[in-house]
Amino acid sequence: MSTAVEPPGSAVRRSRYRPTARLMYGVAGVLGLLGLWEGVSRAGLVQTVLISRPSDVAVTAYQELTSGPFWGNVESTLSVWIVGFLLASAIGIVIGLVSGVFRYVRYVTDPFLNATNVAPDLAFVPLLILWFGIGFRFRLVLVLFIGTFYVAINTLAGVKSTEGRWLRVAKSFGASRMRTFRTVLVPGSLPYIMTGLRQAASRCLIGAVASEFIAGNKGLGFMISLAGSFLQTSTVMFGILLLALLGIIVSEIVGRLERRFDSWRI
Amino acid sequence: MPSLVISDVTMIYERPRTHERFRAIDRVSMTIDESSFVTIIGPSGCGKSTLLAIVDGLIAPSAGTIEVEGRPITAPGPDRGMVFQEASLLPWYTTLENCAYGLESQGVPKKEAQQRVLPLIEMVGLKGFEHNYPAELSIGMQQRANVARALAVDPEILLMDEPFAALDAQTRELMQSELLRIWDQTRKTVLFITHQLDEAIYLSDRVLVMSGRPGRIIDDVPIPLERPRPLDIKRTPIFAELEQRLWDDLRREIEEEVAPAGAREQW
Repeated sequence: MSTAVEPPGSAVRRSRYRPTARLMYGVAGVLGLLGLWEGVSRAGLVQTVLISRPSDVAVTAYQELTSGPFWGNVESTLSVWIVGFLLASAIGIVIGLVSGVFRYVRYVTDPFLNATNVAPDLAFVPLLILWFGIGFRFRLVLVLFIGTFYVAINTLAGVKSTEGRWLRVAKSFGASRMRTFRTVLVPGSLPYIMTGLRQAASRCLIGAVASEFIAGNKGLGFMISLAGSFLQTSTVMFGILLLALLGIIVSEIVGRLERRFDSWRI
Repeated sequence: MPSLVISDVTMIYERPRTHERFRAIDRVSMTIDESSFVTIIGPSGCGKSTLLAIVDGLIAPSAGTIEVEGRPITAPGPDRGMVFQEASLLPWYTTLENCAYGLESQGVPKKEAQQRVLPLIEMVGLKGFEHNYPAELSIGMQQRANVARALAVDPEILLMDEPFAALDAQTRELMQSELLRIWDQTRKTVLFITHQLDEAIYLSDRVLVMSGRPGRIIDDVPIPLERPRPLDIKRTPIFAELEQRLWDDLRREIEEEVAPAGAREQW
């Protein structure tokens, strides 16, 4: 290894990326906000019934985490979300790929995908309740419906974006249709599919919580809306923080998955 | 014995909205001897890449026939290997996987296909980069892999569509002499497309000149330079003469493109 020798007093242009600084400022920001929140409510500037205070939220968090019903709520939300998301991924990828490969299938699915694109998902809720009641089935179908759409539309965009030059290569080298699908269309669409999965994961969580708001008798959404109507602001705040944490964990997982499948991208 | 016979190939396209028809290639014929290196030059848009795609079997001509060693061609086949323009390697496969792609497409098991392409990877100078993805290679290296991929199916004819167009001038010169070295080792019949006059002369036994659209063959120039050819052969008087002749052929066509007869009258 050689060491660069600079004339004394040289101004070296340094990299501006500071990972520790990023972490420190991030943590400082969160702590600062918590401090401000605590201070403002302790000073009596706002009513605690409206925004609670961090120390109360911490106490509530401890009580909830050690209680039985809370874990039942977590399980309920997570199961709807995970089952819905996984099913939505599978169905969405199949719809997207098939629509992408077969032009006439696409002509059929396009209007539906476009229609669900512009119509707000929650507008379908009354209809779904009519069909599926207000139990687990309704919540699952809502999550499934929302997720499938995001995965399908991104997968379809991925297949359509696969560049003609790669398809020409496959054709020129005599690859069969199945091999072309496997070696060009699927890997070519993968970045889009991953984008769809990431979007779907967070939308499905929104769907799961919303469904519990509307028609649940358990789940984190139910917990939050119930606490809200009893003015238990600490519990509401705790629920929000918990959902934010879940969202971060999920996007981290999907992000890692994305990088793993994308190792060929520099 | 002729390796490739192109007879009266015509290509007519229809514009998507107006349904107006136009002729991209007009009755092109040529006979290419085995183990010879033939280059087609022509102004951009003259249909030379289309012609190559027709020979590869990627698109069907509107009229005319292609024969390779006497067999009529209607689809891609292992008797022809195509070197595409830049960035045609599959980005999600390593050099090794890309080079083995053609063999695997023909049903050769993965392990065996990869074994068989290793010597080719070495021949094109990519030893040590077998497990790199295309994005980790320079454009010059990508084109070396591209050549190896086409050679891997052991074709009778190598089709090359402006393979060095995206390279900088110095790398392009280097790749030209590398190509001649590889060609010398394999002695494939080569049909090469370029718009670079010196590239055409330096590489070829014969240069065919195509007109502007609709593309026709307007000149057939034998290149009497001895092989092996060092790069400084480009600075000899005979090379300059050949370049002048090709330029004279092309100039009329390009002037026609840049300033069509109608436009010139208004000047």
